[in-house]
Amino acid sequence: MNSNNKLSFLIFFIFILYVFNAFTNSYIVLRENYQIRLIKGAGDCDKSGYGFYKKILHKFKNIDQNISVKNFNNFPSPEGYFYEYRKKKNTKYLILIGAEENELNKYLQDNFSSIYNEKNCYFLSK
Amino acid sequence: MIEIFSILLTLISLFIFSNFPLNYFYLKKKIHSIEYTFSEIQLLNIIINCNIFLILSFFVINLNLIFIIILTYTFFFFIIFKKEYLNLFKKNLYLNLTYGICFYSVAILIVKNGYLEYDALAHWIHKVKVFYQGGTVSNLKGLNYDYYPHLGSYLWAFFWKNSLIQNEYLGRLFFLYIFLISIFSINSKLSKKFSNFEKILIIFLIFYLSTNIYLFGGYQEYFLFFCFYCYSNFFYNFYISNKFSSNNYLPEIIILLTSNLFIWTKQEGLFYFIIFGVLFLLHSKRPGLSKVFYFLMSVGLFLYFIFIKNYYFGSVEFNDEIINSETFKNLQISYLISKIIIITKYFIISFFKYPIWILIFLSLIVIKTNSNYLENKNFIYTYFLLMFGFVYAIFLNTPNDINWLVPITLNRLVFAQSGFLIFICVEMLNRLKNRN
Repeated sequence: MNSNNKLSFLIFFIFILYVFNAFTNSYIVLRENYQIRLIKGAGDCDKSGYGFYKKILHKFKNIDQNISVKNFNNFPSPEGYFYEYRKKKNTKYLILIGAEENELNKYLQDNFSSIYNEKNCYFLSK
Repeated sequence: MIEIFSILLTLISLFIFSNFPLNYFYLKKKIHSIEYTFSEIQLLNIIINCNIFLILSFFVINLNLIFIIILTYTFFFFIIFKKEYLNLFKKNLYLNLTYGICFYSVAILIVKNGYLEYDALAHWIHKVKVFYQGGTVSNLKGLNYDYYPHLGSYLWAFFWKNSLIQNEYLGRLFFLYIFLISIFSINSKLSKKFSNFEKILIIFLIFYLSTNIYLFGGYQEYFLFFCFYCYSNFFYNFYISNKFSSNNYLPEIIILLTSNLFIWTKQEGLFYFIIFGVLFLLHSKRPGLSKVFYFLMSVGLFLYFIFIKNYYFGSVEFNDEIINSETFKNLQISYLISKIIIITKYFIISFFKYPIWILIFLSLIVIKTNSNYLENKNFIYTYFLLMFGFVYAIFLNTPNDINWLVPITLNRLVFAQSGFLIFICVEMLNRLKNRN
């Protein structure tokens, strides 16, 4: 293979990497760890509310069951990220993501009380 | 850095997986007149493995142990045929480099995003987690959409479990790998008149026109695309070219193993399984006895699926009842026409969303106007009729609001179905090249 062909291939390879933004993505992966990227992508108290759920698990280490989540952000619940099939689903605790005040009040009237909250995310207990 | 290194290791694991159980060089040594190319053996291995893994998913088996067995077996052959592997790598150096760069470019995007897209987070990941944590199919009961097929989730969990840093996204690279293997296997089908650079450009073009990064967020569509591609590849090889003797049932077995994957990948796969059965029975150039064999085996696989679903989940469920209130509403012609218009509109939008369809249609037009290639290829028309008919049927019959459902789901069905028709683009390009 002559040097012209090699050069064409080299340019082509750089082109592929450029088209898929591989240089920037590699830089981001090197700079930020997986958890930070996940919180950015799956949301803290926004989107799926991944960050808030993780915070609850960190703060309330004694809970060893899958906690139910109600997400009002038009995103799926983040339960899947933390799901453990050997653990039972907990009915005592509930996480609300992106809940407005009127939505929160419905749960408060239903014997739940708020244990912890950040912005419009709530950790409720019965 | 460890995350980037783990992408490379996962690629090696996937390569090992696709070289098990059949070894191309061993087969070539034993069967001199072997009809398959290296990439076709890889496709075949993935199909065989997926079927093996399907059986394993019903038992409590350590995923690491399975990987060690595959690794040991494959390394044994790597050592024996290391010269042949090296020669093959050198011979296709630029193709392999292109594969590696395409894989890395998309993989690093998946890794950077990290999060799961809607359906993946809503239900697929729960299944994946069950398998990742050592569970079996029986542990899926009670999950959201537990009746959805689980094979893709099992394979996702397998590569997640057998990765260096055990991050979830590494399991999803399996879907990228099989998608790329399908597209890159086109290389052996392109005319020899094409230069290496032209071949690689064509492969990249087809890859680029088919890729939707969103679906790598945990959707199963790339798995379906792979099945469609493989079915078309083997169907074309075995039946249209009529290479195999009538007493040889190997073609039927390979094609049955491929179509079996449809049932266990997604819900609509059951209908694809039936459609491909019809396609085979109508169009394959095989003797009657082979067709009877295929039919009986298909019925067996279908009944096995029903039995398993009943055994584990109590029934075979779909998102909606097959006969529901909407079925009868369709008897009103004006209502039916308004729905057909909406579905057609989103069909057209989907063709632009996945421009590979534009290339497929262009190829069909070019081939039709310049040659008689399509004259004895009626299976293509049957495919269009049955597949598009199926899409219309499910959306006409759904009790959900189609203005909401069609825009978010139809394009994914259309994407997967394109896998079957990639060969038409290859045929068109070959004809154009050979004419010059």
